[in-house]
Amino acid sequence: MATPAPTNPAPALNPANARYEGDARIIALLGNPNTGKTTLFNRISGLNHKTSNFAGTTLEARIARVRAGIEGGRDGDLIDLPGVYSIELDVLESRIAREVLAGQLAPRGHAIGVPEVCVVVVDATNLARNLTLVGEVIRRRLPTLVVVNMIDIARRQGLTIDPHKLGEALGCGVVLTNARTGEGLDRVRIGIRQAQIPTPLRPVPGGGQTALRIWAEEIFSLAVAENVGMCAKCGYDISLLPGRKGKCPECGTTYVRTDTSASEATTDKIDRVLMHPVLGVLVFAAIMTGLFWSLFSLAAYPMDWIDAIFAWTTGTLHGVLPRDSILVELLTDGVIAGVGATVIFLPQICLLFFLISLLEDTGYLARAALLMDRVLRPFGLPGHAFVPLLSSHACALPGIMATRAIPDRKERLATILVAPFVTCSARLPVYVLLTGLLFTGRPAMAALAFVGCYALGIAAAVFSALIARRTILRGRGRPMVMELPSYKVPSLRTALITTYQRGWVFLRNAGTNILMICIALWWLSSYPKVEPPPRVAELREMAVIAERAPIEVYLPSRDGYTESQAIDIARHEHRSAVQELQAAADRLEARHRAANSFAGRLGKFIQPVFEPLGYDWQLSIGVISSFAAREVFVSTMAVVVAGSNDAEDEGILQQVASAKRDDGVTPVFTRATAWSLLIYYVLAMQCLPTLAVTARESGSWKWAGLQLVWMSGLAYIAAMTVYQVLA
Amino acid sequence: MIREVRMPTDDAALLRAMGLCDCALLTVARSGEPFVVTVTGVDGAACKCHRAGGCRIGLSREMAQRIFVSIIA
Repeated sequence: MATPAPTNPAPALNPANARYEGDARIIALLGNPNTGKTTLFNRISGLNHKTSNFAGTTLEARIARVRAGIEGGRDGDLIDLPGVYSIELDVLESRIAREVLAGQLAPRGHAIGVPEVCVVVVDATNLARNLTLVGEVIRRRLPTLVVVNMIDIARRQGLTIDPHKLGEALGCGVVLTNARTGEGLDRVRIGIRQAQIPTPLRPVPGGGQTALRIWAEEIFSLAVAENVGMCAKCGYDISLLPGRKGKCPECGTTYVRTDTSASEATTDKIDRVLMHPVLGVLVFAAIMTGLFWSLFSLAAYPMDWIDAIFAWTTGTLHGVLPRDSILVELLTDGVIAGVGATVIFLPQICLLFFLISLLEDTGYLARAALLMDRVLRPFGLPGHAFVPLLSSHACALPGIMATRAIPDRKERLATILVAPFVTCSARLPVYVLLTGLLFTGRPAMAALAFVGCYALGIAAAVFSALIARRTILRGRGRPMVMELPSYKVPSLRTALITTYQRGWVFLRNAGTNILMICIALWWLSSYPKVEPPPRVAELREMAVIAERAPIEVYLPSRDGYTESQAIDIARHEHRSAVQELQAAADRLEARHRAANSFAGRLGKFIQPVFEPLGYDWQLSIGVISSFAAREVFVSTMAVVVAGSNDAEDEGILQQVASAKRDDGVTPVFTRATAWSLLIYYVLAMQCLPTLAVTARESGSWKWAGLQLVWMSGLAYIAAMTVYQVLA
Repeated sequence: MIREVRMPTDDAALLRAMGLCDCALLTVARSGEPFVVTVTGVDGAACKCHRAGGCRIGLSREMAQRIFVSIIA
């Protein structure tokens, strides 16, 4: 096979001549995937780092300030570059790494400059392959530090890496670390301070990967001793000694004999099960079921707590601030109700990323992606897309955020676009209402309809992905080739830091874009303020009269009660009568207000658009008001159709079911309209937070707009077809 | 040992960067779909012995069918 020259010949850069526009100097952190580079970054930065994107891309950049890490006392900004196998490849990650090293690109909001130091993280257990990347960096003549990570695993495999010999061979500083425990971290800081332009013992050859690989193997042979079967201290042959652990007869050192071939054989055995076409899928299904179950069950407790906190805050504000003031309404109905409805998903998001991080750290996730590639590839999606699509069953927001694991941009965009088709938990109240109306007293049929909704969502997602990949996102996907990391015990620290980072990104979005959207929708639903109809005043007056009425009016007429029992019954009847009248007045007022709000007027105005789907103005208001969040449809129906402020009120289903249109005869919910609505809510993009997250993750509102048009258009056509067939 | 890789230039470049370069020494860990190999070294280097650990790579069967090898052991 020919070995072409690198796609971008490396310029010889001299950082001494480079311009630095900011105060801090740049330290680039580079490495192959699965080398523990991010764990090392987390160790150095803790939770103190900034997150942005590399300019002109959606690829995440993380920057940590390294205090006085550079000679002269100036701080350094450590930039975590994407994991790459080579900086010369024609893929986005390599292009970013190449341009950052050349001083042509920086994270958004960060000054451009040639890195003062390039820290290359390499995997101690796979050093020969990793050294090819070091060779590419050496070609660029940047001050370099090589961090040999996962040294603990290499030791267990019987590898002895001499950092001095390796440093001499490479002509630059070499530090051995175990990023999980923090071993060698201090030496990394010192190494950064002392980094120099490398002068390798054997010059890095020109040409492609094969030449680099041969050079790397030679460097490897110079600096690494494979002590499998030998005492690490004196080299005594311990392979024939009894037991796995003991004292070396020559020097007395305690040895633990490693058997690499046995370790490899174990990995092979595990892989044979986990990657078996049938067994592997079953194991995968079991693991994903556990993950899915955790999202729904374990996250339910903190979700309830968050709900209770928002409810308590709403109650407190109502108690402290003047009643009916605009400020109270804005805070409670706009800010708290809107942001609360989004933030309530924070536990699910945190739990999802925590579990995914643990799974990834074990080495399983790479294998799962490889396994699922076969299933998803026919639809133009990679195996990596499975976890985001599965996560979207809880909520599309974490699902879309989880697409960051998909390396190819077009495949990632396709996954982002179709993820909201998958039935999320916010659709469930709508499904409950509509299947309840369709199959009253037939729970088995209702359950079947539920399953059908899930299946329709998945089918719509994969076929939409296929269409997108054959039209607007046309192009060859990345070949399915993945490095399979060794199986490891996952790092809790890494998982917690990842969870914190993802949770914070979500909260920041909820506090900005989603907050603005919620306030706008609250305004549309609450204004203009209209006078209640005269009947409301009459009902309130009747309630006052009923309250003033003597209790004797309510005394039971039947005999057989003691005097105290009769008085208790009378008090209860008295209280009930007053409450019913007040509730009737409240319902009427709420219904009148909803119908005359801007959103209500919009619903009436837009009703002709929904006419072919069988919706009258009341259902149109429900569809319009639930544009921000699907579940709002149920509470809107409770207000507009049933005239209750409490969507969980018992009997609402009956009231909704018996609600009539303006002619007073035709039911609002016929069989045809209920099916039409169900199909519409399975397919339609009725979630503004999802649109905001799509825009953020795709880097453009253009993709969010396309998602809205495609999903809602498809929902409209499907719902119309169903209505026209059934009506 | 890898003799030839018949695929588009970009894909071949990615494979080379991952260690599946010309003359790379491979051990097949799992055949079929997906295909798993361990890259243990490269022929032509100063030392040709199998490395401890090595690099395990999974690829689709379609990709594996485009990599031509010669069996040396």
